[in-house]
Amino acid sequence: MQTHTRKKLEILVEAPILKKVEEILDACGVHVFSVFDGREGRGLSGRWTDQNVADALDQRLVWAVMTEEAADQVVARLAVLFQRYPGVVVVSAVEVLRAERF
Amino acid sequence: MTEILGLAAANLMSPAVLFFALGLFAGLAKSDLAIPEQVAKGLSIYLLLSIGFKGGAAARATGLTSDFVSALCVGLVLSVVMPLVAFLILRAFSKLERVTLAGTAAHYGSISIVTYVAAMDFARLAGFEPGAYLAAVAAAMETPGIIVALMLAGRPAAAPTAAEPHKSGFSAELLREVLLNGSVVVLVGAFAIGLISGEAGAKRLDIFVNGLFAGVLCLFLLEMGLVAARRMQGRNRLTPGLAAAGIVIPLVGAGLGLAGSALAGLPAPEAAILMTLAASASYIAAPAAIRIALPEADPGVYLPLAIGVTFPFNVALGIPLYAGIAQAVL
Repeated sequence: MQTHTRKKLEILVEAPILKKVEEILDACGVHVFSVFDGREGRGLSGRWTDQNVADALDQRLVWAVMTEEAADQVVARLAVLFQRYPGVVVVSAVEVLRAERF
Repeated sequence: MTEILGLAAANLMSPAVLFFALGLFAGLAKSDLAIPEQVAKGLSIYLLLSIGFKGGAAARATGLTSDFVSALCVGLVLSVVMPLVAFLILRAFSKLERVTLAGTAAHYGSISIVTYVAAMDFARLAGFEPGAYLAAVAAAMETPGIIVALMLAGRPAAAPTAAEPHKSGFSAELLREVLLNGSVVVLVGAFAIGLISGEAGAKRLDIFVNGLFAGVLCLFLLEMGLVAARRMQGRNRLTPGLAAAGIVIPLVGAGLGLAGSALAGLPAPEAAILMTLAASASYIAAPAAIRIALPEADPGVYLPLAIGVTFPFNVALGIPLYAGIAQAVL
């Protein structure tokens, strides 16, 4: 079975910042991604949960697969964004079946 | 004084406040009681829709009265002044960095719509009827205070992003967040719908916006009690001085609301609501705007202060206190 190497980015950000991340993905030509609601967890600032009434501190997980070139661009721009805003990005190498989708 | 104590006792015995206390107790006792997040957000939308619609229908019935215009002017002035007042009080009561002072002041410059709802509910319980048009005043007071507080921060309000590296100052995104925040859209939109549909519309929605209202408010305040308990137990930088500021700011705000209402010649019921609005701290519109505009401001200060100190104080003691003072003075 023929597979192709791509990069997978998992980006955890607060809900109000999600739009900025989506803009970065768009600017780097990454138009295929998924966003998931974070339920609860623990970070450097302590425990977080989605039970907030307002969504200011709710967490969103962005899941995207892309080419290595696009991943480099996205990570470089996220590095600038995360100088001021809280957020985490994890990059991993993955194998995909249909390369044209990513 | 006896009258104020009587109002306070009546407030503390009301189902809404007792449900808030139940949520607070359950949260502090680490009960597994939880209102699903989407349900809580749905309840919030229902409350905003109801008060907006009722306010619009009432405004249609009474027309553009001088009290309406006066209350709107007083409300706008209060929303500009309150962040400055909060900033100064917080600075006197703490050693917080300037950006967190400004971020926290933004919460006091904006208003808590649920505190407004609780105050209107209490007013009915106490037998005086402030004009429902005050919902529009509350909506108008959501945003200006946030913008004033951002100016106090002394740094660019919107961070340059990777996508827009040269952006600075008040970005379109930030303005969209504060002006088109979901709660503002529902409140103002429902007000407009009430205004357009008038008495006929009010009759058709009577059971929905009036019959269910008290019960939904109880359920939402139960959730608010749980949230307040979580905020108090979660990560926070609250010191005794800051907690005191969380009570002093609403008292000063209420005093300014009273002074403004007296100058504008507003009657006591309307003054009591304006005092409550000035005394309240936002925990929906302001946190989202501040996370975008001032991410360096510590949410471990402004969220526990707004939700864990000021909101419970206003709901339990502040609202009857403001109503009693307004009745005694005006």
